[in-house]
Amino acid sequence: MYVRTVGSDTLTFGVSGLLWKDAMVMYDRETGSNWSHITGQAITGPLTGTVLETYPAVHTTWEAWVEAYPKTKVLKKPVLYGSSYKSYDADPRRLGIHGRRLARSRLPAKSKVIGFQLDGAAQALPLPVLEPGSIIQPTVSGVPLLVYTDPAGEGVTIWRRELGQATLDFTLSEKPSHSARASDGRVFDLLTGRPTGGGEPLVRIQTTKAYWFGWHNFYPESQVVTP
Amino acid sequence: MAGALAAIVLLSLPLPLAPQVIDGEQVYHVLPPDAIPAIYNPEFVTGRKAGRIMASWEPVLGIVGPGGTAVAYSTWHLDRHEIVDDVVDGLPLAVTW
Repeated sequence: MYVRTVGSDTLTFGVSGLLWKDAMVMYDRETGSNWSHITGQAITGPLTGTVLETYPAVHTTWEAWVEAYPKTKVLKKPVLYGSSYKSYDADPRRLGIHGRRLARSRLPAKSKVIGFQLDGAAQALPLPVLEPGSIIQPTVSGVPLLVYTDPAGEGVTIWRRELGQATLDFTLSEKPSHSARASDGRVFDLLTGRPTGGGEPLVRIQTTKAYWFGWHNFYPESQVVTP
Repeated sequence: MAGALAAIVLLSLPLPLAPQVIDGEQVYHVLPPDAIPAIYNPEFVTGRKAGRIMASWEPVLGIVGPGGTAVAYSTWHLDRHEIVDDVVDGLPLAVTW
């Protein structure tokens, strides 16, 4: 999810039909530059090197989202019964369109991972280790984190557990849904990061859902987070 | 004859082509531009009306605009379009994941 402005200009993005590092390449209609949709950086054209600003987004289910945001708008669409990548998802031998091999891999190539950056270092959290409807509180590169997985196992949000001077510990709450009680007694919404009584929200870590082989193409040095 | 035809075909390709290798990685031309149609003019329904088109377990990408407007995009639908050019609370966004 990117802010599609560069300076004072607004860009309009389409699908270029190019693939780079097994991932979709966007183009902008104003300058014809091509952009990696993984890094948000222009790789060819007049804007080469420019990096788009990311915008925070949450992966979750429709049910959880509309409960948290009853006034939400929804992109109009036909009724659908799944992803167009369903058969691709189900076949562990198909990697990208070229079927490249991933040597000495630390994870099965098509494991889904939650990718994120922590102080400039890429991290990958394997989705299969996350139990639906749970929290884990790993410390990654010395940073205490809270990882929430929604009951459908679809939505994962990651937060810093440091707030001001304090490091908080959390317990998952029964009610309201998708919330957790911190060691200081406050209850935080794990989709928005906001405490129920108002006040300073938790700091969100921006995440990308990806196949391990795709994440690894872009970030070969990525660490794998183990809970 | 075949050689001349090949030369004509080559000359008629749009130029300049994107460099073929960037950062040590091959760039592949897989489809023409816009063969996968990005959504340039998104339309929306209210959450209340969306029950007809959304399954409760349908995965969504959710955002809250700078003015507090919440918007959900079905990732099943995004898989067919890859990009939505949206404006939320005045902020132009490229919805992709």
